[in-house]
Amino acid sequence: MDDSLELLRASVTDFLSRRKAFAIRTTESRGAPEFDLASWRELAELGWLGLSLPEGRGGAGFGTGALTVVSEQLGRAASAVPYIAASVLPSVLLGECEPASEVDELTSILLAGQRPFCLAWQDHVHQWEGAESSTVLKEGRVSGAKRFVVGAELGGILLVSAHSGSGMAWVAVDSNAAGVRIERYAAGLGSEGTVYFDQSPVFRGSALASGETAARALSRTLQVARVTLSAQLAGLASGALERTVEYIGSRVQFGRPISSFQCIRHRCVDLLIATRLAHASWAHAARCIESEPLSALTAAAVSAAKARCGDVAVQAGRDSIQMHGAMGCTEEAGVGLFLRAAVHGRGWLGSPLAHRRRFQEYRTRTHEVVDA
Amino acid sequence: MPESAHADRNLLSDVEFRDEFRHWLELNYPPEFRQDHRRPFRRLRGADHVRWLKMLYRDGWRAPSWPRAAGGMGLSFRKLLIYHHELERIRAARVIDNGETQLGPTLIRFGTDAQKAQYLPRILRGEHIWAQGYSEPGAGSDLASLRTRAERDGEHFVVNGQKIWTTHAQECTHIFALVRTGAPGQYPKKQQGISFLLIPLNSPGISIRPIMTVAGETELCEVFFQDVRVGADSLVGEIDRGWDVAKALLGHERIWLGSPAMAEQALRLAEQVVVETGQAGDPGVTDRLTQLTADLHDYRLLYAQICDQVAENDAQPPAEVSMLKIYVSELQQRITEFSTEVAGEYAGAIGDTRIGSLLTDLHWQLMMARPVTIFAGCNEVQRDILAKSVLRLPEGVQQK
Repeated sequence: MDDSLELLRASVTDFLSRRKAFAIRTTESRGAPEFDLASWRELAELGWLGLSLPEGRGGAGFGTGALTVVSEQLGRAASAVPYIAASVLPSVLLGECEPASEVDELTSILLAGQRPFCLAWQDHVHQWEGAESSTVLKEGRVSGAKRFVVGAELGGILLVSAHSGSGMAWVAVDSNAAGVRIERYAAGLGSEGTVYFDQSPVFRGSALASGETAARALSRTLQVARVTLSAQLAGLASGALERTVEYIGSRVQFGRPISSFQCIRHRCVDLLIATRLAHASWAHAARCIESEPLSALTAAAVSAAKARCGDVAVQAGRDSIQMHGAMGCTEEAGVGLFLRAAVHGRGWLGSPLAHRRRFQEYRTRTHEVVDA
Repeated sequence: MPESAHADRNLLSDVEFRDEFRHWLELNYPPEFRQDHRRPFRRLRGADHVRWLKMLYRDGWRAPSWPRAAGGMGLSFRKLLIYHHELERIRAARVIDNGETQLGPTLIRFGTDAQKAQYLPRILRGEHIWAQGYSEPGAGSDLASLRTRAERDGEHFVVNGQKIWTTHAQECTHIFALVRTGAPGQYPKKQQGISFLLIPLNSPGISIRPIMTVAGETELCEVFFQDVRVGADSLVGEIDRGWDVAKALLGHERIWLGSPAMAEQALRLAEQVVVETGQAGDPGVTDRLTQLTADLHDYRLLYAQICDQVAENDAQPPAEVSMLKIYVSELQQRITEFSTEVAGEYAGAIGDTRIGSLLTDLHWQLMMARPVTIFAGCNEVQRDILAKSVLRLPEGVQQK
């Protein structure tokens, strides 16, 4: 890892250690939590909302590697910051749109942290890409419904995929606009929603991208988001293991720390190996995206990573609760947050089973993965 | 101790080196030695083994990790990785060459000039084939409990006792053994009072009994010592300090234990079993095969990542390399068990079996994969090591 990414990692860990409230949020009521706009603006000031955008478009020009660095650390801290939903997905998508005044305007609102953004692309469960869409764009207005919109916020801006006369299109819709209704619910450590559009006017009245460009923008965005989410899931697993190692070393039963019992020690070693596999897998996928984003090899690597990291995060969350004993079952202990976040991230953007099937499909279209 | 007479291949670029070795292997590697679906974990033995070592020696590919001054190739770790990768690529049979991988580096570090001059060239030429005499009936994972004794008698040691699980002893010419030389009660720790001895296997008083394994192979032996006399000059390192000599051996060997080659062979066979039993379209079967494929894919990445770290720092492997052996050995078992399970009735046959166009021996591959989680430090002990040295988990009880 180069020095600038190492610095970024250090500043993310530093930021998270100073902001405990931001890092761990326990819910007494099960309602969807409010978006913390003040904290979000701090991230904007630190320049983390447009890390992968080229400098010419207001970003830091860092590439996918920087997004994974931030996400991994957010995962380690079981942070509720909706970084992937509200920053990675929308910023990568806007970066994939041809430069135009409305694209630039949205980008600057996003980068300044003025409004929460999110991507509304999914029509149904287990959707892989955006080819099919029942949301229709006609004469500057959209109608339809989007499911599983992570980070859909009241007062935010939705980037919405729709069908127009000329194929797929991307539009921006203000959540305050006429005909927009958001059913929010708590999901993972944050919230998501089902969003309904009824003749809702689109931002500046025109599409941000259409046809081939729009479809390619979504594929590319999902690819980056999947590897970034993989890094976050791997980070969750590492964070859960770190907390567990700390706990079992101080918890005394039968006159000694429970970390002295071989069954506990071996269980932790298995988690250690699992987290290292997860890290190796997403790091490889992130390198593939940088070097050849369009190849089957990269698609296979990204799917392998998402499958691995989703499974490992859930395994680590589950085992960590077990090793915390009854304490692990309390909301107060906080270790349950790792499992809650892991289950959300495992299902989002493709399940391990779906990704492994993609992995197998793509790898047979390419040469052997490791060939020096 | 003659320096290698061959050109220094460390001076080649990595790509040149790879191409040269690849070319040489393609021209010279005996096809009958390659791994196949019948023998996916084939190991060279006896005359085949010696023939291969002599071929390597003839063309300057012998002892890649020994320094050139000792007659080896003196390769960097990066080139060692390439060397191993190329052997895997042509599906070369496994080779147990304790003389090169274990004894040579030990003598180079701890041996006398006379020992180096006597043994190293003969190892290189394939004249001496060495067995490793460590385990005993009462000393497996707890190796330091070993009881084979050597008593000093003038200019000799007299050895009495028994070794077990000695790989290929019946085909070896010599054995290096850990023996107890300290008097009972002389030292507080059982690791003290152990010495490292070099013993010709044709010495009077040695008898060797092969052990049949569950795979039907006689790879392992018992070696009995009854009043075996060896010269006092066969002691390596200091008397009673043999544990330190043996411990220093580990090094890079722990990396090669993590090689994905055997799991890869097992997976290729599993793919064929799925196809030849007509289950390639069964989503339940293919999902499980895909899981194993993804496991090996990610494992290769982890293996490469750790190898790269060692190569970059040109350092001894960190303690965490133990995780490689744990994962890949268990993966190899999972794959061989999968093949056995999805083969249905075919899996019950012992010996060569034809499944469609596939000639295989499912019992052999299953049983050959049993010892991999046991040898070279069983996986339970490896987990203990990782818990202590990587996770640094408090033990809270006094360790002996």
